[in-house]
Amino acid sequence: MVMGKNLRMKSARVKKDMTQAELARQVGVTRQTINAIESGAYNPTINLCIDICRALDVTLDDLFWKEVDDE
Amino acid sequence: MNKKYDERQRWVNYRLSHHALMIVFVLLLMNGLVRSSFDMTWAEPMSEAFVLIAVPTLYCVTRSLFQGAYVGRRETYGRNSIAFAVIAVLFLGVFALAGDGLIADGKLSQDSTTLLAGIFFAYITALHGIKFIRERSV
Repeated sequence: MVMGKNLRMKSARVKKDMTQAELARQVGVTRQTINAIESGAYNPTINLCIDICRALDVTLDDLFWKEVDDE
Repeated sequence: MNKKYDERQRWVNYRLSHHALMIVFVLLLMNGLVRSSFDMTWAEPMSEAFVLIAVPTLYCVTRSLFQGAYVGRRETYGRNSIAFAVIAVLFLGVFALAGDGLIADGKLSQDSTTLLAGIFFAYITALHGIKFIRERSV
């Protein structure tokens, strides 16, 4: 399923001064997986969402909650 | 759960495996139709099996590689490329030294399997090489 880009995740990562590769290493996935999530090509499982939020010091709502207006 | 691959890689590989299965169905059906309707044998049994297996395999390998899902989390493109190159050279070398030709009696010969395997592994080597260069440039 193709979704919209996850710009909130990208901006949280940039705010933490992390590259996709660094975030990928920290959560135990490949760089392409982080890239696919940010570009909206892959819909991650809740476990991976939690790992990403922990690595970026944000909440699930901050990165993955969709307001009705977002859709 | 296979820890070698992350969740997106497993998802990609499941999807591609399903596509490959569909390709196998179509190829087997087409092969059966050609052989029964036209009473035509286009290859020796081993070569025929190799072609029917190689086509969906190459589809899977190509798409999986370019979606970053073939080699697992460790991304060993360079090392894999060398290993596949050695296998390709072995097959092509054996065919060059002992092969009797690609076609015999109007059909793919038994020896053609060696040549096709060489081409198969050479192709996979090239794909790994391209992916290795692309990943280094990111």
